[in-house]
Amino acid sequence: MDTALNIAQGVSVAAQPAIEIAHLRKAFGSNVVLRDFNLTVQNGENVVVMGKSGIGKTILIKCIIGLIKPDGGTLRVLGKDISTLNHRDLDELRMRIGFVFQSSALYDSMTVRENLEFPLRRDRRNKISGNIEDHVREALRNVGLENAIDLMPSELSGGMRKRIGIARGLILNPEIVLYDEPTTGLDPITSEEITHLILELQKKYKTTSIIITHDIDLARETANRIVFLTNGIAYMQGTYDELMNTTDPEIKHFFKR
Amino acid sequence: MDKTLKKNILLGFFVLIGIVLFIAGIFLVGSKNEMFAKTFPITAKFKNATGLKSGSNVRYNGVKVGIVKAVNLINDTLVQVDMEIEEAKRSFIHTTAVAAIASDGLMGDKIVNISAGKNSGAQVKNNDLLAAHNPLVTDEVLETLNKSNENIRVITDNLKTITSDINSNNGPVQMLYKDPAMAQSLRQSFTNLDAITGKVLNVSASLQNITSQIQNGNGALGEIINDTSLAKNLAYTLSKLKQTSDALNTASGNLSKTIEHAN
Amino acid sequence: MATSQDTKTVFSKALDEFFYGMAELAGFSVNVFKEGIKPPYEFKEVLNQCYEIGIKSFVLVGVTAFILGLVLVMQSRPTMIEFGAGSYLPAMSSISIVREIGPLVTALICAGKIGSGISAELGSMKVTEQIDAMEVSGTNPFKYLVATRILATTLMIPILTVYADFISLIGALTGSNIKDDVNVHFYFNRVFEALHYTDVIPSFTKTFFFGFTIGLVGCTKGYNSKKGTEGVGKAANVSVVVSMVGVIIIDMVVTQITSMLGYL
Repeated sequence: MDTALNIAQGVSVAAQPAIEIAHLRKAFGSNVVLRDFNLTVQNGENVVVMGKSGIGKTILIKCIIGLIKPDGGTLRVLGKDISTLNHRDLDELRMRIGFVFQSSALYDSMTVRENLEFPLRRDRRNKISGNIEDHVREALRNVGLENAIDLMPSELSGGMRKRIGIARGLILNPEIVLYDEPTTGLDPITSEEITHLILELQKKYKTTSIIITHDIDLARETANRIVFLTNGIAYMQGTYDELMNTTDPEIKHFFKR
Repeated sequence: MDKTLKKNILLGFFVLIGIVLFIAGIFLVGSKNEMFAKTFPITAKFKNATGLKSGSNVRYNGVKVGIVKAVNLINDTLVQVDMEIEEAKRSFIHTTAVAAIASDGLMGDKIVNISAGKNSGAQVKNNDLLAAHNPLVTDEVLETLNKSNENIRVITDNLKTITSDINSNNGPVQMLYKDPAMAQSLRQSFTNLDAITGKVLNVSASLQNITSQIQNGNGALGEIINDTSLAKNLAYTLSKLKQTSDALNTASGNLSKTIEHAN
Repeated sequence: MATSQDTKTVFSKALDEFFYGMAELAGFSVNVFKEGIKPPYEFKEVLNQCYEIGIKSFVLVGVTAFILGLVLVMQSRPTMIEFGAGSYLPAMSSISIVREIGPLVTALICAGKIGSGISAELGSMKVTEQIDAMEVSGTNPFKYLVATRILATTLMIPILTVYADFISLIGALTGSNIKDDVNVHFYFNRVFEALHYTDVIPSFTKTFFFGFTIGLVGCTKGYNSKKGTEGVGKAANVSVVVSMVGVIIIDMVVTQITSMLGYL
């Protein structure tokens, strides 16, 4: 196991990291998805997690937000240990994390407006002051879809759905945003648009993010650091250039695809 | 928001109507079963309460006045039936009233029918025990039928004896029935009778003939009967004869006097 | 869940699935009570679901109930007349409608319409990560999606049954009026005269159980549906079958209990 790199990365910053993952383990039956995953994400850092399909990337971020319970290891998000939180505290922590789903996960039975209102109305912290309508409009302006406010999700194109999904993930001004394959299934031009949108929003709101993708262009544009996940561990970490120029055959193979 | 409000108003309306219907139904059922009317209890003891159950109707002379509340065995031969009667109907029911178990319609439930007693009495009080008229239950009907059956059996036995007598060889009926000689003589008698009848017929025909001839004025007798002048003559003759005989009588009397004088 | 035991079965495949389904239902209902009792309550969503379930099924339930009431009278009338019991038609129809036809038809129609709808909806929400999205937004999907739906079916099926009973009685009146001339007042007089509390209360009570069953089965099958469109379709299908059978079994049990209590 090559863990030298991530240990070196982890101790370099003095401030409390946004996300600390140590020895994370998750298995479904006999299928071990995460074996001994270690990762530390600093405040304001953009980490891109790459790896083959079905390797457990989505499982990883679902563990971070508490949708999946890990079998072992510790998981500290914004200074709180996920596994020790009760329902209420976990919900409160989740308010500080945005999650952009692979399938956008827009509520089919609600209009775009209601989709965006949903997290606002559910926010028990009552942090959001002022008009809900204004917030919704601002979030839509951010993704450039202000005129789609009264459409149903079924009336939207794939790219639009992704944008609305991002708008919804960011509507509570979260400190951490987790993107699950934001460009998968989109044409190259729309992918590029989404990539720029992510970067733009990151600059605007100064969020920490973990982006899961196989899209190399997206990784190059957005990543401060790339983590290569394979065999249930963080196999290699580094900047885009470091990973591109590595001699490791597995990573070479992945990037030469 | 407006849409949600509209939906909720519609939902409220829907639920309200549903509840109103339910409560209305409950009240209708209750009012038909007099659940809400003020009631008072009375009882009756029956030998048999087949088919009667709690909730069965209680009628007074056919008008519904209450329901059966409970049916309980109280000893080896009696069933106590507790009834709840509407307070408003109390004044009609007297202590002399008689309770009986009856059927409601052709195939209806069993009911308790209370009818007025022979003598008028005081109004019933709570928990009064009404006299029970124990109706003909099926068993009793069957018993009666059984007696009739017995009688029929005796009758048929007798009939059997008679028929066997008829059948036996030396019985009088059998002789009449089976002896060929007897039959022969009977037939002969009937033949003779037949002949006699024939003759009688002839005689009566002749008589008929004679009477008709007399009526038509044929023959001497007919003339006598039918000719009016003849009758007149006859009357004249007869009166003359009377005169003659009178004269003769007088003459004979004179003659006798003459003779006497002569003596 | 790939385990080494996958190829082996405890009893047989079908039996195992049956018992697994039962365990799933039991676990789910425990969770529903556990989560549903705790505040905060999702009143708005309950109202929304009541609307979706109650009002949107009303026409279907009403039409079916009307036709069944009508057909009941038309079918039994000749026999009743033959036995000289024609005048018992209103009483007969009211008792059969209130005791059995109204509740059962409502429950079966709703098992078909609502049960499949719920499980298809929850199934596709699960497949498209909408349930996860809800959880991430600080909403307990058990409360927001499941408890609300189960509560809504439990409350709306009885109300739909009341409507179904009345509409079915009107259907029976219409059926009586095709061949005879039955006065409305007389008819309803006979109908309510024939009914007792012992007819109304148990049959009304059982509709709550019907509603709960339909909601529970629909939610369980939808919530636990397998990934993919096929999984969603299968979940809807299974949910209809299971809830219909469940409704009929509950009906039988309630009838048995009622008769044991001496109300039949």
